[in-house]
Amino acid sequence: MKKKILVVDDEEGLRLLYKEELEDEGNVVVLASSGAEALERLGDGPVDLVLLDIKMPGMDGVEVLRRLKERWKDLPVILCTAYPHYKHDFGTWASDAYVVKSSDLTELKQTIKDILAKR
Amino acid sequence: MDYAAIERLSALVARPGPLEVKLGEAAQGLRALFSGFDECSIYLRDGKENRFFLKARDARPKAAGGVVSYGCNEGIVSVAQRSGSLVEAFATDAASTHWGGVFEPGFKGFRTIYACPLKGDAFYGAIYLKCVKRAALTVAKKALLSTAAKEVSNIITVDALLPGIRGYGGGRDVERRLVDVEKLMALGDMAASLVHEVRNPVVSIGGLAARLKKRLPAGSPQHKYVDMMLAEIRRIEKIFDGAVRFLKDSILEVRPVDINDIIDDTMALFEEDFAERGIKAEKRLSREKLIVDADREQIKIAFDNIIANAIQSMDKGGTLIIATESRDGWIIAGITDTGGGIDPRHLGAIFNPFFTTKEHGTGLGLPITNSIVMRHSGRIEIDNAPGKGVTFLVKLPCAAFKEKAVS
Repeated sequence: MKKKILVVDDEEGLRLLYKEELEDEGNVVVLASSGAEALERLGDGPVDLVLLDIKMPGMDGVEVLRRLKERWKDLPVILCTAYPHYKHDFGTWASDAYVVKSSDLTELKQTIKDILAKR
Repeated sequence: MDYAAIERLSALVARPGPLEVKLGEAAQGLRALFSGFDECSIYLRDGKENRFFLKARDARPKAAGGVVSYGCNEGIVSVAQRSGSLVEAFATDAASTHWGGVFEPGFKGFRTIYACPLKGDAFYGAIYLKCVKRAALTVAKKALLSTAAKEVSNIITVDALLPGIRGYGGGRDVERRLVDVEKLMALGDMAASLVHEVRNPVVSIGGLAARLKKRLPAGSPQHKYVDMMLAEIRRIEKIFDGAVRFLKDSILEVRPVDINDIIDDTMALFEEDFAERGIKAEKRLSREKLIVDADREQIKIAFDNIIANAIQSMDKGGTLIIATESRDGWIIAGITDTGGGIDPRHLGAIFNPFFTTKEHGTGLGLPITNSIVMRHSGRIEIDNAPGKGVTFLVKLPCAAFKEKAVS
């Protein structure tokens, strides 16, 4: 069964990149450009994994993470960010994994594979 | 009791920490020492604005307010600057605003002002001792004040060194160094915002270029163009990684670590580089364990950068010596190379971010090392021998409790 991944990022270029790369790996990808839109998309139906940007205008990633985990405790969330130091923000400990954004998507793709394998 | 107070001032000289805080403690100590006085303030000259600014003040609770700043020709502080010695001033009446021909608003609410000059290799400013009554100091007390002022001057001199530099002839510009620190902090903030803003587009460009590459025939010119684009993107990302490490608000994971252990690990990683360039590497590590409360990864990076710099300066071979010892509560690691030393004209700039004399350097290695060492309450000193080589001395405070180090 194909796994469904929700990608949340306010940057159009990154949404395009992640969608193309993850679909190549055989996943179904749903996109959201903001925290609010992400919660709406989740209302449409279940997903297997969420890729979540931290710094977004409006509701930021940490707030989205909190709401996600409140409603869907077992839904894995990978936080993506430009900054390594967010690792120490208490809010981010609730995520299942934490990846620093890079043009080399190897680490991200491996993390996704590892998490989906456990579902 | 007087000697104990001078000793306490002396102890402030070596203590790491912000200058303002140390001067605040000095002002408190001084007012306690001169117990008949109602206010002790410290004014420092700002070279850029050419004014004296109040940097520290300790006053009796009901005392009148302090003066925030003086123009370069105002106040008894400027008289102290001209005369170079202690100035004793008594207000002629309650409404005095002038003394000895200068405008002195500090007499408002006070009848006595002593201004003792603070000087090192430049005139720094003055200590003000003020009393609401007419209070004359004895000859002995005046001598005590001068001695105390010498210690406070030392606090300022040593603070302005950050990091310390020996082998650098000529006077040091104290005010310029103080301004440099503020510039560095502002630069750190700007670098952080910049990296964050630019990183997303860079990830898009790099990721999509990688996808493009897969669809181009191998060996075609277009394939080569995209390969070049990807290499440049990787270079940009390396610069980001370097800049991010320089940020001040990343958190340290501090544990007791053995410095000799870290040096062994670091040197092992450079073995190939040493062999390639014909560099003889010597370790003269202390026999005792040197334990520091530190973030192991960060300290490794700090040493990495210094060693990498040393290696780059010896591209035709040479000798690299690392020596460690413990002294007076400090752990000291000295890294010496025979790479010809640092051009004395550049000594003031080597810890500035993005300053580099190499074609492909980012100029972030030494600033990062300096930032790491300072965040661990340590300091870096340089022993420069132009034409021969240079020694970087990394000094870190000994761990509070010498528990077993985490390896």
